[in-house]
Amino acid sequence: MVAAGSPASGQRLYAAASRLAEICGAQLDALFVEDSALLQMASLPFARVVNADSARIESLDIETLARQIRAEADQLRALFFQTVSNQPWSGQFSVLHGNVCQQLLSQVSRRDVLVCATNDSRLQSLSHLGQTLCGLLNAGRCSLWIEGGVSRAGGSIVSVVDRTPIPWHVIQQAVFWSQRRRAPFVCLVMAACPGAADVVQTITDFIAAAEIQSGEVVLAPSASDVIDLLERYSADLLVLDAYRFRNAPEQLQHWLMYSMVSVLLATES
Amino acid sequence: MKKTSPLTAEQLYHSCDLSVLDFVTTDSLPEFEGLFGQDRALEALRFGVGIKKRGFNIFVLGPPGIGKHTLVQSLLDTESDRRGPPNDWCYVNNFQAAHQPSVLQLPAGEGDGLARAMTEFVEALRHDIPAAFASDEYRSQLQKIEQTLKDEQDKAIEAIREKAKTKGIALMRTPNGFAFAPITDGDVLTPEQFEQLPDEEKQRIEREVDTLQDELRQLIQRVPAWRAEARAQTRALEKATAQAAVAYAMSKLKTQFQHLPAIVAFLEAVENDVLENIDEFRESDDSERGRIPMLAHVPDGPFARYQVNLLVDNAATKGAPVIYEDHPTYLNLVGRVEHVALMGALITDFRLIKPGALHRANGGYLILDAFKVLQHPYAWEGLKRALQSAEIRIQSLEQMLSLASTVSLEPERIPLDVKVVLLGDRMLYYLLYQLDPDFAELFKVAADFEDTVERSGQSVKAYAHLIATLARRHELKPLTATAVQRVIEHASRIIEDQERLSTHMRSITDVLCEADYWAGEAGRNAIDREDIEATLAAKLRRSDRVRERTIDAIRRGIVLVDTQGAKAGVVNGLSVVAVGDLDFGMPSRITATVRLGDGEVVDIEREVDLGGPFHSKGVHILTGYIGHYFAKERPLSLAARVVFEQSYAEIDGDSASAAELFALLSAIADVALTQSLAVTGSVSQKGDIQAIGAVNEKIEGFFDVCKTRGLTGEQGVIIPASNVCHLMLRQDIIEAARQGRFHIYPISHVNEGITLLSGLDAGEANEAGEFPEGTFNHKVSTILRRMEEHRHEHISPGKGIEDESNTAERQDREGDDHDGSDEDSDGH
Repeated sequence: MVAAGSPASGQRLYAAASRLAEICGAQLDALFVEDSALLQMASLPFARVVNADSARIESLDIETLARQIRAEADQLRALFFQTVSNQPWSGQFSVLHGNVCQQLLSQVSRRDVLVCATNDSRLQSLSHLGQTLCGLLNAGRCSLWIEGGVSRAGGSIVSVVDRTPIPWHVIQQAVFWSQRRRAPFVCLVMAACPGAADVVQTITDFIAAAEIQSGEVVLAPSASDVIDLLERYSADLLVLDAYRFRNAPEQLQHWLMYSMVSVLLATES
Repeated sequence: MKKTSPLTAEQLYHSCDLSVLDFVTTDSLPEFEGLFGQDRALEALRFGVGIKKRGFNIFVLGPPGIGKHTLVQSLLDTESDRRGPPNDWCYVNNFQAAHQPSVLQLPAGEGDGLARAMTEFVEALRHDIPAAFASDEYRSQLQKIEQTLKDEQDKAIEAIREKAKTKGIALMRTPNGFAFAPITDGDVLTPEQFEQLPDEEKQRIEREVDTLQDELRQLIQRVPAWRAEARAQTRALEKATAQAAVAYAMSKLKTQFQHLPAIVAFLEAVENDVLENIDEFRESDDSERGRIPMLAHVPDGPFARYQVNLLVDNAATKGAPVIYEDHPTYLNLVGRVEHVALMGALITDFRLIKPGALHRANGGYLILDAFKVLQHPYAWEGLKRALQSAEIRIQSLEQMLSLASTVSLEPERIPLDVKVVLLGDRMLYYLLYQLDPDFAELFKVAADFEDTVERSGQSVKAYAHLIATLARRHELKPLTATAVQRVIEHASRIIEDQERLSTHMRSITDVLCEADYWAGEAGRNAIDREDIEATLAAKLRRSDRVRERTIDAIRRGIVLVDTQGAKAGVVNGLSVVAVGDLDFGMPSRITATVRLGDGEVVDIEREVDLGGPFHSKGVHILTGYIGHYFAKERPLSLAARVVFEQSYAEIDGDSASAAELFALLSAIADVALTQSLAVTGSVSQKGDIQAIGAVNEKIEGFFDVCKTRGLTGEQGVIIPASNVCHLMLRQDIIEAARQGRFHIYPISHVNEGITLLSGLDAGEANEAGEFPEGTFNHKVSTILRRMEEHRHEHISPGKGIEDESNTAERQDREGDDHDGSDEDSDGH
C-alpha cells in the first residue's frame, strides 16, 4: 500500500511503489486520507492559511478546504492509475476520512509493505512522525518502505546490524534487493554490537558461501560514522531492522531525517 | 607582253623529303619534349608564371585546337611541383555575429584534422556532458543543494512548528499553504471545544496564532531568496561540472593546435559558448532528427555551430593547385552560400558555404576559357573584382546588385593569391584590351601562340617526334615514315603554305585517330600513307554532298558556267563555299555590262545587300583602276554593272575583284575572253594582282568542274603570283598539270591576265597615256573615248546623262513628239 499526502510527492512515490510491487510481484493499492484535523482547524473562527507561494495570509473556510482536499485526492487518483496502467494487477485507490495516523494504522495490518515518504508534506505535518511510524511497525507484520529524497542509480544496498542474534531477515532483504538491482551489497556492523568481530566474520562467511558478487562487510565505529559510510558507498537503499526501532521513535526519526536515502524497515515476514 | 608560263607540277606541291624521316615507324622516336614552335608564347608564359607581382596574370591567345590548354597545363603542373601546397581554408561559426562566419587558415592537411577533431569533440561532449550531469557526484552535489534548501526551509518551518507546539498550537499543512490550530493531547480543538475555553485563553490562542502566522509569512518571504541562492549554487555547480567535462577534451584540442594561435582563439570561443549553453548538451536528443531523411541536410540542432566547414582541403595537394574551371559562372568562380528549404523558409548557415574555383586555386593557378567567362553574366566582373581586391568575397548576385534585402550570410573575406591564365582567341584579346580598361591592368602578360611554324628540315624532324608523341598519347598504332610524310604535307595544306606547318594539333590528332581506325580495318599494325590518304578522302566524302550537288548542277547546265569557248564581258570567277567543316571552291560566272553613263560602276550584289563591305571595296578599287588608266584626264562616261550570276547568297571578300575587272574591261572593249580559264585574285588601283585566300580550294573547284566535262588541255586557273607559295594541291591536279591537261598561271599585274584571257597583248600606255593600237587596252580606251563623245552629244551642261527616266521630261521641255520612241511611251 502506498500512502501519499499530496500530489507534489505523489508521482515519485507512486512510481517507486509501482517498481517495488513489480519486483515483489505484489498488488499495489493506494490510500489517501482526508485529514479530519484539517477540516476541524478550518472550522475555527480564526482559521487562516499562510499561502506557501505568495506568503499572503488568506482566510480559510471549510468548504474551500474540503474542495481543495478533494481536488488533491482526484489528482492523486489520476496519478496512481496512470502509474499502474501497465501493471498486470488492478490496484485500488481508497480515500479515507479521519485521523491520518489512525487510518494508516487501520490499514497496515492487512498489508505486507507500506510505502510512504518522509518528505511528504502530510507526514511532515504529523506531530510525531517517529511515533507514528513506530506505531505502524507495532501494528503488525507490515514492513515500512520510506522513500527518501536522495537516489543514486546503481548505488549500493546497505544494511545495518547492531544486535545479536544477527537479524538475518535484514541481511536477506538487503541481498534480495542487491541482486534485483544488480547493486553492490554492504553490511555495516556497528562496533557497539556484542561480538561485533564475530558478527562481521559470520556475515562475511555467509556472503562467500552464498557466492554473492560484490558484497562487503564493514565495521562501523559509531552511529555518526554511518552517514559518512552511506556517502562513501553511494548508498541508494538502507535496510534496517524494523524490530530494532519499534520502541525508538526518536532514533528512527533521526535515521530517516539524516540518511536521506530510501529506508526499508524490514520485518521477518 | 609575253604570255605567262604555267607553273610546273613541282611548284604546285611541296613534298616532304623522306630522307629526313630516318625511321621505320614512330615507335622508335622519342617522346617530344617541350613545345613545338611556340617559343614566343613559352617565354611569355614562363615570365608570367614566374613573376609574383599583382596584375601579371596571363592571357594566352591563339585559335582553338593548337594546344594552348595542354601547354599551359603542362607548364603549370611543372611549376606547381616546385611550390608547396597552399593552406587549407575553413569557415566556422562566428559566436559574436552568426551571420558573419569567420575564416580560419591552417597548413595543408590540418583543416581536415580540425574538422574531425571538432566533430569528435562535439560527439564526446554530447556524451560526456550528459554523463557528467548524470554522475553520482553531480547528482549528490545537486541533491545536497536541493536538500540544503529543503532542510533550511524545513528547519525554519520546524522551528516554528516547535515554537507553536510549546504554545499548544500545531502547524498544519493545507493544500495551499500552512495553517495553525490549537491542540490538546495531540488533537486539534473542535470549534465547540474552542468556544468552551475561557475568553482569555481564546484571545491568547488567537494572538499566538497571529504572531506565528506573521513569523511564518516572513519565513515564506525569505524562501525566494533561498531558492535564488540555491539556483546560483546550482548554476555554479553546473558550470563547474561542465567545465570539468569540457576541459579534458578541450585541452587535447588546444594541445593539438597550439602552434596555430588563431585556432586556439577559436577553440576558446567554442569553449565559452559550450559553457554558456550547457543546457543544450544536457537536453540533446538528435536521434529523432537523425531518423527523418528530409532533415539530413538541415543545420541540425545546437551542435551544428561547433562544426567546421572545410572549404578548401589541400591535404592531397602535392604542390600549388592548378585548377581548370570549365563552367566559369559567377558563382562557380567566387563560391556561393547555399540554402535549404524547410517548411516554406530558406535557411542557411556557415556550413552551407561552398567554394568556388578561386578558392580551390588560391595559392596556385586558375585556368579559364575567356569566352566562357564573358558568356556568363557577371562572371567577368566577379573575377576582376577578386583580382583587383586580392580577396574573395562570397556574395550572391542579388546581394551584389542590391536586389535582395533579406538577411543572408556575409562570410569573412579570404585573401587571394592566384595567378589567372585566360585562354582565348586573338580577337577576344584585342577587344578586351580596347574596350575594358581593367583588362590591361590585370592581364599584363600576353602569350601569343603561333598558328604555324617554319617548315625546315629541323622542324620536320621535330614534327615527326610530335606525331609520334600524339600517337602514343592517344594509344594509336605507330606511323610509318611515309605516313608521317603525308601528315606533314597535310599540315602544310591545312594552313595553305608550302613553307610552313600548322600547329593546330587538334586537326592533326583527328587525322591520326581516323587513320588508326582505317589501319585497323585494313588489318595493319602500323598506320601507313594510304591510311592517311583514306582518312582525308573519307573526311571529304562525308562532307561532300553539297559540293557534289553543286558540281552536278553545273554539269547539267542548271548553273551556267562555261569551261571552253570565249565570251565578252564574261569571266569565270572563283569563290569559296563553307559548309560545316568543309570549305570548297566553286566557279561562278561573273558578267559585266556597260553603257553610256556617269562613270558609275554598280556592284549589283551590293545594291541588293548581298555584297559585304570587302566585296564592295574591291569593286570600288577596280573602278579606281579604270579611272586611273583610262580616264585620268577625261570623265568616265560609262555606267557599268557587275554581278555574280546565279548567286543568291551573301558574297564578301575582294578575291574576285580581278575577275570582275577582266569582265568589265572585256565588256568595255567588247573583246571575248576565254572561258577555259578561271580567275582569282584581288586587284589594286594600280593593277597589281594581290594574294587571296583558299587558293587551293578555288583551283580544285574549277578543276573538278572541268574534269566532270573532260579536260581539254586548255583549262586552268589564273592566280596571283604571290599565292604560289600557298599551293598544296591534290595529286590528281598535279598529275594533270604534269601532263599538260590543266594549267596554273601566276600573274602579278592585270595586263598579264588580259593577255592570258584575251590572247591579245594588253598594251602599255605611253607618256601621253595612249595605248598601242591593236592592244586590248587600246580597245578599251577607244570605247571609253567614244562613250565620252556620245555623252556630250546627249546631255546639256548641268542636266546629266539622258536615259529612259528623263527623256520624256526633256522632250516635253523641248516640245518633241513622244511617238518617236516606243521606250518612252511606257512611262518608265
